[in-house]
This record gives sequence, structure tokens and C-alpha cells, in this order.
Amino acid sequence: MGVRVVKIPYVVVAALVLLFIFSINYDRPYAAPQPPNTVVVTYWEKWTGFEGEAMQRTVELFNSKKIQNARGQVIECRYLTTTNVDRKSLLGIAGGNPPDLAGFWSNNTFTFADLGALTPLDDYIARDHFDLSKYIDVYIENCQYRGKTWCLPTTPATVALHWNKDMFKAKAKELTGAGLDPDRPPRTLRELEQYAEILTIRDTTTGKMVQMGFLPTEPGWWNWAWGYYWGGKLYDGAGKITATDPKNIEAWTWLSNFAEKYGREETHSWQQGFGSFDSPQNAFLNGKVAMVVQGVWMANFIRFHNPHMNWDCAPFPAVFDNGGEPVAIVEMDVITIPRGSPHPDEAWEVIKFINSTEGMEYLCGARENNGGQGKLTPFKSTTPGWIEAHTHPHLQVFIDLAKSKNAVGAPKLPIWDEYKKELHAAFDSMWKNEEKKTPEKSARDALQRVQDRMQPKLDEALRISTLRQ
Amino acid sequence: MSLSRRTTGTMFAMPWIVGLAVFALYPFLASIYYSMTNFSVLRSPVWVGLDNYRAMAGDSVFWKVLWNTLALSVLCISGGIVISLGLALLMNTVRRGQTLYSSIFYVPILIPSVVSAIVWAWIYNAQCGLLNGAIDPLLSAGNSMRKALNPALAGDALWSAPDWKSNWPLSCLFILTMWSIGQTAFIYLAKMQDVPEEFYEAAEIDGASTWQKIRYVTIPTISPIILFNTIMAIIGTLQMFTEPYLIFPEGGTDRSAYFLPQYIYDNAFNFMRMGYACALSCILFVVIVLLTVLAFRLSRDRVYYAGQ
Repeated sequence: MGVRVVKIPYVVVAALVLLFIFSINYDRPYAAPQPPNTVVVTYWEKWTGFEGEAMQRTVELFNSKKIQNARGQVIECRYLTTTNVDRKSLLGIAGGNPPDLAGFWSNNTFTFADLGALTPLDDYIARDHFDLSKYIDVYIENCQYRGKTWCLPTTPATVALHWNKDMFKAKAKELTGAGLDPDRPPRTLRELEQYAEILTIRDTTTGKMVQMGFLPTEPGWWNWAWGYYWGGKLYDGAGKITATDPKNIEAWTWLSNFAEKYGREETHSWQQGFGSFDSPQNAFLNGKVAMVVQGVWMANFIRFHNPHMNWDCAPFPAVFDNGGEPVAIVEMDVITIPRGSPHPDEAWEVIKFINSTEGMEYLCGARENNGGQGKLTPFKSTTPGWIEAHTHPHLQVFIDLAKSKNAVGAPKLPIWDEYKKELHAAFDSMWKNEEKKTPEKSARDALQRVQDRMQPKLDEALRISTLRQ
Repeated sequence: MSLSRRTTGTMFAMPWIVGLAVFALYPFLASIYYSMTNFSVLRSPVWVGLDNYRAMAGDSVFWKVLWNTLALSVLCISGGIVISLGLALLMNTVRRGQTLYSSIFYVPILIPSVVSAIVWAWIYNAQCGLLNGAIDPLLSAGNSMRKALNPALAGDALWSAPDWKSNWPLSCLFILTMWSIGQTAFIYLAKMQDVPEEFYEAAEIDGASTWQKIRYVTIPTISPIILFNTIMAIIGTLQMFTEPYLIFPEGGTDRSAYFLPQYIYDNAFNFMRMGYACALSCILFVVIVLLTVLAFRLSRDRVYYAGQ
């Protein structure tokens, strides 16, 4: 049987090629119609849900002001929620197609700044006599790196010890018996240990964990920062990683002892049964853990998922002579102008509005913005009555923490993401302690591993940075 | 061949050649170049020669992830061949409902890998996972019996459901991989049904047992497909990313489930060390090539091609 050759007419091939070219030509981002005499500023942000909506309304408030640029054109900001905003911005910047504005976290801004990915804001600040003294020190310091201001805050945060008052009351008798006050949170580490022990409940028949007074790994977002409460540091500010600071070792030894006491495997396994953070099954919201370290945003989730919860918050006890100034871990969402932004001048106007008292208070907690993001502002003072009208019942605790002399953020390092990941891996190793070392040795070895691994990386990063300059 | 026919042929092949050059060859060559630079994507690369490779030699995390990657590959490749082959042999012996069984085993392939990974992450959950949900009643019954015999038994001496993800991360991923083994089994089955019936008849006349028929007829005849599936499995498992990334987002306890593709991703996009990530990619490429060559070498005299 002969093979039948099917001839494809050239016209069909040509039509397919044309169709392909036509399709490629239409493969471009959707560009919304631009009103006449208007400049559109694109803004990529990380937030979804109510936080995204609060920022969206803040952007709409900006647009309603019809602010004009130097050429008399009206600036219109378009807000786009973008997952993995840092990585997508990175590719946008590298590809020469960045947004005009990008919302990052203060701790990865240093990396981006070091790589020349951001536009410094100093010229704009000087030109418009923009007042930086209105910011709480720690927040503006976390926007500055190598002598330049790379970003300004959108919403700042501090973290505190949240405690479930009803769970304390349920154990009032035992707490009182141990000389503890069931109506207040622990003020020292020793008290925290005592409260934690009394509030921990195991099933009487199976011996399995039912409730814990305190679990340092819930939520585990700041495992890298425990040393701060002991007065430790992660970086000396002059090129030396200080993971093995004796204060850090002391902190991790305490944590290792804690894991040993409550069961290294058991706590790890038990924690897997916790629901996701933003759900009623959150371990703090459903009463599985009586005390957790959480950020200012926690009040929003309590309001959404367990509005009748009886709770309060206080600084986590410091373990060194802190002069009465509480230790506060500081984090912050920031807004930046990426390098290559098509409209940097107009982008600055958006930043300036968000960082005005009106914009910031609207974003962080205005009733007319549905409570906004329910956080504090980065400013030293707020409009009278703003705090009282805020949805957060204990906002002042977080404001005081931010103003503390011991408020501290992540180290300003170009390798911070890697350093943090290494600290988390070391923390896991210390907590699990598979080699059955003493708690002190498990802590020391884990931190030594971080030190040995990260110092050469920092040396290399600084060497390359010097080479480029 | 006339010039016009050659030109026509070349033109027809051109889209593929251009695609290969632009989307595979150029990135491949570029990554070799970038592997010898300090490159962060955002700044122009700085030539550092073999520094990235030297750094890799002293990078304990690299050796750990390489070991994890190879261990997972060995587990998945060997287990995959045995299980999928066994499944195909079983399906081949079934005369009625073969299409139904094939469809059932094929269904998991239709589930996107992201969905599958999330579902399995919950199945493995130590507290509320389906797996421990099934095991717990058995362990409780066992503990009751043991306590009846020895009332002093308590605490750690009692059996408890394991924390799968922490203690057996590679096994978790192995089981997940086997969940979608249907496609490989399907390919084996198609080839098995192509084995001439006369071969089996001849073997039966010679008094061959069922095992001997499998050993001396089926497996040699389908050996090219076994080789093909092995090579696909080498490439697939060494590059496995989605499942470990979703089930072990932090790389598992003390990086026990942290693999080379995740380490490449972290270096490239989280640590801004694209040059080092490219060097790691080159090593992954070399590992894949070496294992593929090894597979060809080991199978040289063992693969039967009907045309030879």
C-alpha cells in the first residue's frame, strides 16, 4: 500500500503564521482608558482582603483630591493587589517595566536599596520640606539605609504579648495559689514560666496536650528575634554577624529548655492541628494557647473571628536591665518608588499624601474607612480623638512599644532574607534537638552554625558592594 | 535532494529551531555565563570566575540539598518503576473492566499538582490528618490492650500516631509521587498489549511459569519503554519543585525536605544571588546528564529493540 502524501497548501501555512503574529501582537497588558490631561500612576501592593480594601479606599481618597503635577495634569493612582509583590517588582525593575509605586516590607527594602533597585526619596523630601521629625524614631530609621531615605511607611507595627483573660480566670484558683495574679499578664520571664505551666492542660487519660499556657513557636514568625528580649543583637552594625552573642545563646537555651519541658516532638506535632492564622481555628482565638506574641493586627482578626473574646495585651517581659523601656520588635509595610518608575514625581505625590496625617489616619484606622487596617500610625502624635475612635481597644500599648528606646527592627543587611531563613532552620534544629544535646549545647551549636554560615556571606556581599562603588 | 526541497524542509523545521535557540539554547548558555558571575538581576554581572563553584564546595546547605535530592530521586525512580510495572502487569492480566481500572489509575493525573500537594499536606497532618485519623483508633486499641497487661504503662511508652511530615519527609513525597503513577503504568500497559501472543505461546510450550514469562518475555519486550520512563523519571524527580514547596514551605525540619530546585529558587529570587543560582542549576544539569548517561550505559545490553 502506497503512502498517501497530504499536501498542505502554502496559503494555509501563511494563514497560520499570520494568525500567530496577530495573536502575539495582542499579547500585551490591558491598558485602561486614560482620561485627558491625566497621568496614571500604577501602584502594586501586597494586601488582600480588608487591608487591601482599606488601601484601595485611601488611594480613592487621594484620587478625589485631584492633585496635579508640575505640568498641571491630574494624578490618578491605580492600585493593584499583587501577590509576591517583591519578586514581581524585582522582575519588573530588571525588565525595565516597573510599577510607579511598590509596597514592600521595611526589612527587604535594604536589599533592594543595595541593589540600586529603588529611587531615593531625599531630593523630594528636601524639595518639599517634608517633615521627617513627625515620625516615631524607630520607624523613620527603618526607612533609611546608607545615609539615604529609600521608602516611607504605609502601616507600621509592633508586637506584644496577647493574653486570654478568660483562660486566666478559669485557672484563677491555681494562679492565686502560686502567688500569681489572674487579672494581669506576666511581667517577668519567671512569671511567664509559672503562668505557662499552670495554664497548660493535658488529657488525664491519654496524657495528650489539650491546652498550652504559652508556646514560643506559635505563630513562630519572630523566631529569629527572641534574643532581643534578652538584650542580644544579630548584627553589630559594622560588618560582623553576632548570632552567637551570649545573650542570644541565653535566649535560645531558655527556648530549648522550654521545648524539653513540654516535649520537643509533641509540641511540634500538636501545633500542626492549629487552624490557619486568619480563621476561627487560630490557636489563640479558639483557646488552645493562652498567651501568644502577636502584632497590632491581631485585634482585627479577634474582631472578625471571635468578637466576644476577653483579651488584653502587654509588652513581652524583658530579661535584661531595660531601664523601664519595654523591648519591642518592630515591623513595617513601606511604599517605595522603584528604579525606572515612569512617573516618579507623581508617585512621590501619592507617597506624600499617604504620609500626611489625613492619609495615614484614614488608612490606619478611620471609622469612615471601615476601621482602615486597624493599626497604629508611624507618627509621634495623632489627631485628638483618633485613638479613642479606633477599632483596636489596646492601641496605646503598641504606640508606647514603638516609642520605647528598646524598639528594634530587623538588622539592616543586604543578606537579611538569607540570614533570617538560616536562623529559622537553626531554630528548628535547636527545638527538635535530634542529637539529644543538652539545651545549652543545642542552642549554642545552632547559633554557631548560623554564625559560621552567614559571616562569609556578609563578607562577600560587602566586598561586592565595595567593588561596585 | 534539490535545493528547493532542502529549503522547504528547513523552513518547516525553522519554528522549532528558532524556539529551541531562543527559549532553551540561549538561556542554557546564558546560565553557564552567569554561573561565573556575581549577578543579582538588578545590577550588571561582575565576573568572578569559578568562585560560585568554590563556594558551593564549602556550602553545607548545598551538600544537604544535593543529598536530599538524590535520595528522593532514588526512592521515586526505583519505587516508581517497580510499582507502575506491577500495576501494569496486574491490569494486563485483567480481561474484563481493563478500561475502567486504567481510567481509575489515570484519574489522579488530571488533578493539578498544586491541588494534589495541598490535599496530601492535610492527609499527613499529625493532628487532624486522614492518615493519623485512620491509625489513631488502632493505636488506641493497642494501647488499651497493653495497659490491660501492664497498668504501669504511661507517657512515652504508649504508642502515638507519628508526625509524618517531620519524621518521614521523603516518604511523604514518595507516596505523593506514587499517587500519580497511573500515567507510567498506562504506557507500560500499552506496550505490554503490543507483545506478540506467539512469544507467550512459545514460552508456554517450553514450560515457562508465569514469572518466567514476565521475566523472559514481557520485560525484555517492553524494555525500551522502561528505559524511556526511567529517563523521564530521572529528569522529573530531580526537578521536583511544586510538591515539596507546598508541603514543606520552609524546607522541612532542619532542611530535611529542602531540595536543589527549591534552593535554586531561593537563591535566585529571595536571596538575590542569581549567579550562584545559575551555578546550582548547572550542577543540577550535570547530575541529570550523568544519571541519564548511566541509565543508557547500564541498559546498553539489556534493552531489546524489535527492529535490531
